Amino acid sequence: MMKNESVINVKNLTKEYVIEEKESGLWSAVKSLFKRKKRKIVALDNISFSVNEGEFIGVIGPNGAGKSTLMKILTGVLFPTKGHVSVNGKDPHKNRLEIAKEYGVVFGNKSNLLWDIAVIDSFELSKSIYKIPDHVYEENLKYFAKNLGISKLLKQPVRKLSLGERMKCEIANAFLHNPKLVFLDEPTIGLDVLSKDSVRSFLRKINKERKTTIILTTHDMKDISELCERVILINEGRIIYDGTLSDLERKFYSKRKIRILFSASYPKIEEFSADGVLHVEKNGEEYLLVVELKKIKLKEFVQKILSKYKVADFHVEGIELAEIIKEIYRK
Amino acid sequence: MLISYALIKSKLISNFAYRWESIGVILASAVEMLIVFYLWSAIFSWNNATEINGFTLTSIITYSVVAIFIRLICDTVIDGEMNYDVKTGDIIVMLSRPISIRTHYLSSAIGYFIFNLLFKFPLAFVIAILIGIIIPGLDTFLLFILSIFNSFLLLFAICFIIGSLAILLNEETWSLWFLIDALSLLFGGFFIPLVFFPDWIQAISYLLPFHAIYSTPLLIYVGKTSGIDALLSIFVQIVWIIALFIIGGFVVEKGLRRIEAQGG
Ligand SMILES: Nc1ncnc2c1ncn2[C@@H]1O[C@H](COP(=O)(O)OP(=O)(O)OP(=O)(O)O)[C@@H](O)[C@H]1O
Ligand SMILES: [Mg+2]
Repeated sequence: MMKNESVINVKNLTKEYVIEEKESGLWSAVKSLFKRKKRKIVALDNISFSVNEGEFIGVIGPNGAGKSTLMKILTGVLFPTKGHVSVNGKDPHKNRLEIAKEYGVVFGNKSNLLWDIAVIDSFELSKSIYKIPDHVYEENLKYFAKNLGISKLLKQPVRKLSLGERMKCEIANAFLHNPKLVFLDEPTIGLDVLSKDSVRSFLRKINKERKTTIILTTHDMKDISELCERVILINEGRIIYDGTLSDLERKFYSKRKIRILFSASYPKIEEFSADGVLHVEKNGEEYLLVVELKKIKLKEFVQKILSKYKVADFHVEGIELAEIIKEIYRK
Repeated sequence: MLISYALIKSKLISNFAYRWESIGVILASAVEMLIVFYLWSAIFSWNNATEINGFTLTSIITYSVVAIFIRLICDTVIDGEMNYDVKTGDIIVMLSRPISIRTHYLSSAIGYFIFNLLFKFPLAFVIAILIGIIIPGLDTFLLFILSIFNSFLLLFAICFIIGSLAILLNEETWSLWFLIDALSLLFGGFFIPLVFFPDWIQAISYLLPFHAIYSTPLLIYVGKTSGIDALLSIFVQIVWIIALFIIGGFVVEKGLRRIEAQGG
């Protein structure tokens, strides 16, 4: 075996769901007792990738892309229709109970904590199920309570927590047994801005300090831009991008915003029109230009402006990840 | 690992959150006990009988009251819990834990059983004594306790099969419980002892597991089976437990294969 063996290895993975169509109406319901229409849904279509230890990967894609399906296959809960999956060198489905000890997981819309008992009792349950040594448990509890701000929630029954409060407890629970690998399926749903910040810095810290491999799905692009060096973009069951965030921006979105403040004369808007300048607008003193990098060399373009006019201040910015993603999803 | 103590403890704590609701269930049982008391009293005085099919009035009242008692204590709600978990998709979460599905639900059921023993048992027992049941000797009582523990396991095994069918068929199956419950009341000798029935019903009942749930502990309690016979009937209970656990294990495995393929 290689020394730098990857934590996760997925090769030509395909997952098809067979669903029974439920037609509306009473008669169809009666008919369906005897005969059911079946339909196949390809949720994942021949995908391959691998993950190395300590990576923090963001899996993104529109609703129904197959992200949750992927998480369920990696955790061994579902088995692949075709292809090969290995997690920590083992087939997660065949070794489900064994692999389950090695990872932590949060399925954002489900609860791992027991509804009717206090959060701390659920943690105690995890302590026993995952056989967490006392000192590790105590240490983690202290660390998580502080970093996620959940110390006040521990004595409350889970059913009395708000969605965001519960989410933070779920996240703590997933890390309690010091897993080397953690799957987070939409862990930031329901979190307010401050909670998101604390969860993100918690995740970043754990990933850095403990070299925990984290795979996260989200619809919040700020999660991705603040946490993940690597992004896997899935659409209709296929990986359409796998690489660094900055490459993604470069590859899929070649537009830049330029903001300029002129110090002396104010040029007319028309003076900027050129092939590749998509948009010009003037907001008081400030001019905003949107340019297409495929048609314009940014450096030359900016230099030209600097030499032609007296410029007090300017800066070039990319376009927000969220907008890039919107653009990609639309295509 | 067949059970998880930590999970049993958690489930026990959960149940205490609903302790006041269970007062209602106990009161309902108390009413049922009163009904059978007056019913049998009426039957005996109408016939001027001192004994029917070998039962005196006190022993038949004891039989019926303890039957209600057993049903109250051994009831598991696992079929409903499993149906709920299938419907909501929470079953997926359970599969991501390093304990098996059966360990999970068995521990949950035991947690509930212990709650029943701690909370419902004393209250219901006091009511039963007030109504005037026979108090057996210690050795009989110990055999009785052993056999109602088996009754609990039998009910669990049956409910687990119903719940596993929900996983397998991806349909709600909890209503199946009503059918099974009715059958178990008839063929288990719940309402009246099996000797009151025509031979053919008795014959069928010994082919089904239900007599091991109710009839076995009840006959032990009223002293109709004792000694070797009592131990033998407890052995039959254990055989049924094993058989039903095997069936349940088979159905749940099939069901999990379906979920793993179809995704809940
Ligand atoms: N249990 C199931 N049975 C049948 N089809 C399913 C099942 N679960 C998911 N699907 C289908 O598979 C596809 C992928 O679903 P999945 O839940 O993986 O998407 P997702 O990327 O997680 O979406 P979202 O962002 O909305 O969470 C969808 O078309 C969905 O309808
Ligand atoms: Mg999803």
